[in-house]
Amino acid sequence: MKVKNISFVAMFAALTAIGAFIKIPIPYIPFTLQIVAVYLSGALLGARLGFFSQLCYIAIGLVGVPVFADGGGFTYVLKPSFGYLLGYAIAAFVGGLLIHRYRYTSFRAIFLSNLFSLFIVYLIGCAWLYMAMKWLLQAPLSAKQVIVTGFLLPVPGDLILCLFSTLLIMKISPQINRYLGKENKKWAKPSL
Amino acid sequence: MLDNIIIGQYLPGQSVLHRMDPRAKLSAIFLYIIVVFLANNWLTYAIVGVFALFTIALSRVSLRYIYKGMKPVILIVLFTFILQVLLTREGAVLYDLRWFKLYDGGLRQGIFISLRLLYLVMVTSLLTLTTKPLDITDGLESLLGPLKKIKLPVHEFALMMSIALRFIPTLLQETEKIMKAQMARGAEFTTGPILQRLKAFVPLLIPLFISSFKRAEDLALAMEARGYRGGEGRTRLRVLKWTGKDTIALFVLVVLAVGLYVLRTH
Repeated sequence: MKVKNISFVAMFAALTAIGAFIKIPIPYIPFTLQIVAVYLSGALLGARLGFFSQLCYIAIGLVGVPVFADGGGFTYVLKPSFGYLLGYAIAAFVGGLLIHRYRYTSFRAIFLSNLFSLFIVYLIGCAWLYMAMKWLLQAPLSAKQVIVTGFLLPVPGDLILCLFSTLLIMKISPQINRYLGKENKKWAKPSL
Repeated sequence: MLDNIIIGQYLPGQSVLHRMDPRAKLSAIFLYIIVVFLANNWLTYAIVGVFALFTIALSRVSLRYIYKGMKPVILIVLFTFILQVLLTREGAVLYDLRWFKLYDGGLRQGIFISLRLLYLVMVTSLLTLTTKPLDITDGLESLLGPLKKIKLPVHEFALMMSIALRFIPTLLQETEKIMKAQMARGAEFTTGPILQRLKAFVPLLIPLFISSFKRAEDLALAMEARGYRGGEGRTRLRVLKWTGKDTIALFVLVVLAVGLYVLRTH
């Protein structure tokens, strides 16, 4: 792996932690800007590096650094909401794959691919919630309860953030091409 | 807040657990998790409980911190206990209200599952309480080393974790700086309707992301200039040392696992 990629991935893992620290209090569910960093890591770094950055974020939290929404530590794996974190990693991969493979540049295309990533987050998050309740705590929830607590309650805030992140991606991506080596450097013509 | 992040939950100390090799601690935790799931009757749960209390005593971490680590799961534990007691209908009726019967089996099931969660949390939180995040990272890198053979970037991943850890406080300061700069220009982050507040975050996040790209590129250049060429043949600043007590700890856990396998109800 190139040194540059290592440091980009590390930086996005740190940015994800910053996103989780910025809390916007709204009634009922406090939401953070963490998922913004998830969309951006996929869209800006690409599938593989985006995936690594989210995995790195999870690993940092698990070794005891308080970067998750409420704390950190290895015991976080036991929480029924851990699935959303795993979902973030897969979502960054999927988002990056869609946007880079098909070279999405329009607002609508990026928004739709973000929406698809969001869907993946919830799919994995709810599946984990269901399985954790069933096997770890042995107190199964019905599919309906899982959908209400794991999907319908948090989804409105995330839809707004989905739109918000698309806006950010549109604004940021033209400005970082030179760091990603996508831009051909134009040297001044030697004047002799 | 800033210091808090770099060291995580680590509590400095000189106990046996603090001085153990992180590799030994990680393997021991792995064995311990198997042990906890092996227990399935009163005797085996009691043995695991004694072992957990013994480890906590060895670590000399005050119970206040153990409780703090357990706090997030205590609600879950209570919730499971109540659900188990309410929903399991096995064994003899212990207590009979008109609308609810307390069953022997339900009570036992509830106690066992809550104990299992508590045991898991008590000892696994000791890992992060007695080991620095960077030491755990080093230990993981060394334990997962064989995976390099199948082309998994283990070394690179450990390096990413260390770099990210180093940059979290820096980026927090940067965020604060940009926030203050934008507030001076009239941005409102804490008041107003939600959409407007989100809009205020745009001029915070764009400079933050772009400047972190620049910072990351500078770091990569600095690393290359100092001759970083990947993990092959690299020497370390912090060297892990495996000593006698690490072997003993692993041996104790293996004995515990075998013992529980014999004693559990088949």
